[in-house]
Amino acid sequence: MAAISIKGVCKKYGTVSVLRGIDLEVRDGEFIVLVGPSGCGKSTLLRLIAGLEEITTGEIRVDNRVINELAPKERDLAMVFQSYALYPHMTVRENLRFGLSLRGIPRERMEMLVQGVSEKLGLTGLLERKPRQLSGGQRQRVAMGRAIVREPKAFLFDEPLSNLDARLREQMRYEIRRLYLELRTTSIYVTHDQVEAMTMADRIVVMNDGIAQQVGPPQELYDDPANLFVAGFIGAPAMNLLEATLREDSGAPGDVTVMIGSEALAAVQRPSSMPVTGRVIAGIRPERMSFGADANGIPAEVDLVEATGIGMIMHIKAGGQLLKIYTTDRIKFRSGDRLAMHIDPLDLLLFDVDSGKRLRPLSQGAAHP
Amino acid sequence: MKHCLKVRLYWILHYALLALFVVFALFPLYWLVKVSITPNDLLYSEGVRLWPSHTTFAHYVSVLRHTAFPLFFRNSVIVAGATSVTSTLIATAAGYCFSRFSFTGKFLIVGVLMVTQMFPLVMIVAPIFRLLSPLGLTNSLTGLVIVYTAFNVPFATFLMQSFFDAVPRDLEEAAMIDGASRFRAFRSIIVPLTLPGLAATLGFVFTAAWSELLFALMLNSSSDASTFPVGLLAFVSKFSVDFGQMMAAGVLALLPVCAFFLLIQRHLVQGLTAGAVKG
Amino acid sequence: MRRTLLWLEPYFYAAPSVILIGAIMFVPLVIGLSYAFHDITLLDPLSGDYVGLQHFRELYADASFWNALRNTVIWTVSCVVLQFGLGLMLALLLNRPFVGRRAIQLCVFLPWAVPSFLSGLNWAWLFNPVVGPLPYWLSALGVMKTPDNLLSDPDHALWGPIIANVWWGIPFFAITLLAALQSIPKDLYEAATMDGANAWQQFRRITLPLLAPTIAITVMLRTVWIANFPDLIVVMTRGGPADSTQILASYIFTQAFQRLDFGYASAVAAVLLLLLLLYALALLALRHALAKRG
Ligand SMILES: Nc1ncnc2c1ncn2[C@@H]1O[C@H](COP(=O)(O)OP(=O)(O)O)[C@@H](O)[C@H]1O
Ligand SMILES: [Mg+2]
Repeated sequence: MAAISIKGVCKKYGTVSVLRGIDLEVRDGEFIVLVGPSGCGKSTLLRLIAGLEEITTGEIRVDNRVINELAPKERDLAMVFQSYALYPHMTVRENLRFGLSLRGIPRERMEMLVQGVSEKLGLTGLLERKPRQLSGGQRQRVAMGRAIVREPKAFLFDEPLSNLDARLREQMRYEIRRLYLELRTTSIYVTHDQVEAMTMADRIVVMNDGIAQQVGPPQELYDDPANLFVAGFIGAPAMNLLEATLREDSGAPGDVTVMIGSEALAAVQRPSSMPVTGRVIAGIRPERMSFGADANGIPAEVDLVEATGIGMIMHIKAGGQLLKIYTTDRIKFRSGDRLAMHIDPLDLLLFDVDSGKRLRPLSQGAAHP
Repeated sequence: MKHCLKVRLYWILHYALLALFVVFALFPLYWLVKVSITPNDLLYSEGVRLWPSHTTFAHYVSVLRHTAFPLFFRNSVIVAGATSVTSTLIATAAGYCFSRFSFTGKFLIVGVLMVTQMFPLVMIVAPIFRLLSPLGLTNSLTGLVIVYTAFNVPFATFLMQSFFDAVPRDLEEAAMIDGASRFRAFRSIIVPLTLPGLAATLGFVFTAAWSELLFALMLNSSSDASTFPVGLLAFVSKFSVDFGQMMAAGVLALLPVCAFFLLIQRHLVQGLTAGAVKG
Repeated sequence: MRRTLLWLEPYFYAAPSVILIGAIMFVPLVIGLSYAFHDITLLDPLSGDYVGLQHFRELYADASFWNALRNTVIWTVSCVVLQFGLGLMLALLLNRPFVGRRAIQLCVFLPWAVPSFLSGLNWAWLFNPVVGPLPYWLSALGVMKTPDNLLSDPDHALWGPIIANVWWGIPFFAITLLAALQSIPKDLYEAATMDGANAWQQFRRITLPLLAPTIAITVMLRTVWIANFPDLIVVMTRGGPADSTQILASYIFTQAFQRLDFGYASAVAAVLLLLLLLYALALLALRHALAKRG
């Protein structure tokens, strides 16, 4: 097990910058998830750590030793690929043994390790099969087994569940997490799926455009996103992001009123840096909004109702903008119905229009509850 | 009903045309075999009969016993064998390089290899003779192997590259993370997976080297170092009446390449396409 | 240190092929071009002088050269047209599944494996009235008056090597075109059928356009290759009778091999190379113009 420290890492392909200065401290035994849209550089970062690509600038340390110049085989890390990358001409047993035999581990010990891992992962009956004779889930397990059996310093996962169907994905997610809790080996897990990120991570790194946008525990990222990108990326259904203006509140001097169109959304504390134009983006999570058929609230009209089984997603129009409400109540609204929304001012997050940075209230330094 | 008839007619035409192609392709070879087993006395009397009234292996026996063909055959096996092995080794290195690396000058090198595929080889007959002669590489099997290897490496490279391209990079990366050096990953993962491709490349090059005539004729004039094509041609010009023996020798020349053809025919499409499109 | 090694790695793998091809193909090419301007006759110790354009002047006045040039055009065009036409037909026939396809494919592709010299000899024997059936069949069909050897008739002898070459080259076109045909997605044809296109329209509108790039490149490469390919002629007729089957490639070979006049042979080769380059450039220009218009 090992701590991994990434400092100012940049990667260029020719003139194209793919990673633009990544800093990240992975603690010993921590499960870190890198999440971001496809093409943002997650795999590239993982491959730099694994030694499959050359680092352009910056340094990566494993247990305080710089590994920039080490070949992949000298780094003692294990990686699980999206394609699983099982050796097609070898049986499951030979796949599991390959890494061990390269390290010159004696035969009996090798058999013992393979036996142990295949029991742990339920592969005992499959050891003599070739990868093409296995189902997707079984292949995934073999790929895991191949990583575990060597007892490496850390695991690297590159979207290991993307090729599975939704149900299997949920099950493997659980199994990987269980396995991690048992082994407590440092893990870096790449995914584009924010649900996977939220459920598995000790800490999440949200990446976009080759930059780490925010690093923190899942709940913190959900409650207290640092910028528009993180706010929009984490959470499903996604946060409502509305074009709004701030109006000085005549009643309370420390407060401003958030307006969408001509409707007043809520009165909130004045942000520490007030945008000159008064224009902001206001974010509110669909599941933090309440509504009723009464008259006092923000007037809105139902556009479309989607049933998800556990709840409903209501698409509504208010102040000339479209937004979503998520509720688990059994409601009877239909397209065209009118209703009134209620928003707790504490749930309203403000973002700068240009930079996308979070605008925090003057008095409030720490995280939102 | 009418549609049904049209479909029937189509298939009759389809098979009829194919039958013509099959006859056109096989008849010359059939005739070669037929004459090679026809006794000399029947050759003229039975003229165009499709099958002789009795057959003999006497021509094969006399070719093997009383001519230099066993020597030519040996020379050809050595030259074609050595050429196919060296070409495949060199082409494997280059093909792997083109498939797995991007580097400055790659475009230029690939371009140069492609240009060689358009060369009039007759143009370099004379200079090659003048280059190899002082080195003692004319009238030598080694000289032929060197020249043939150079001729075959470009095509073999493109072929091997197409086989390597078909192996996902993930596999060797997984091996390298598992603790293998690049060479070890190549040996343990890539080679076993491209073995059929290696065999096909060997077969292509062997066939090409086995068939080459002009350079063999120019570079090796002494009969000790003659290959099969040269020997057969010399035999034809000298004893142009002994058709039975000539055709028996021809059938013998055909055997090794036909064996390779059966071995590689499944890769033929991929192979010729790689050759045609890339070079 | 590791960085430099990593950077050098690909060159290390490519080096053997580059060095070999440079030494055995490019150096001789340059030397060959220089021979065209020298008096190089093998076994003649007095030769070796620079003679400028003298070979080219000789060549201009050499009736055999002009004859070989004309034959080269006839040879190349007939071979390419016939090989391509028949190869395309064969590929289309083999492109749909039917009973016995694998076996038939094996049979029709077999000539590809036959060494070119043997294919030449074999056809020479077939045309030979002593052992071959073709003269009798041709005269029975009324194509020929008497069962003579086609290869000794100066007016038609060139057809002998052409037929041998067509026989030998059909598989090449059939295989490449078949590969291209099989990479055309089947749903394109299904969509066209839904749109009401008949078989011919499907061929015109889908098959041909999608095959065009493969056709263009294979035809170009094969043209160059066939123009450069003297084996069959050397084996079957040695250019005779009376130079009636001499093409430039075999003429070069005869000059170098039989008269040992490497200088003159190189001059002819240089002209051939130039003509082929012009041909390739013209094709590329044409393709460029078509691409612009399309
Ligand atoms: N070998 C390469 N050469 C050039 N660009 C590359 C290469 N590998 C990846 N990229 C580019 O780098 C960006 C990030 O890729 P990647 O790390 O695979 O993204 P992710 O895994 O987040 O989807 C992409 O835009 C991709 O096109
Ligand atoms: Mg990726």
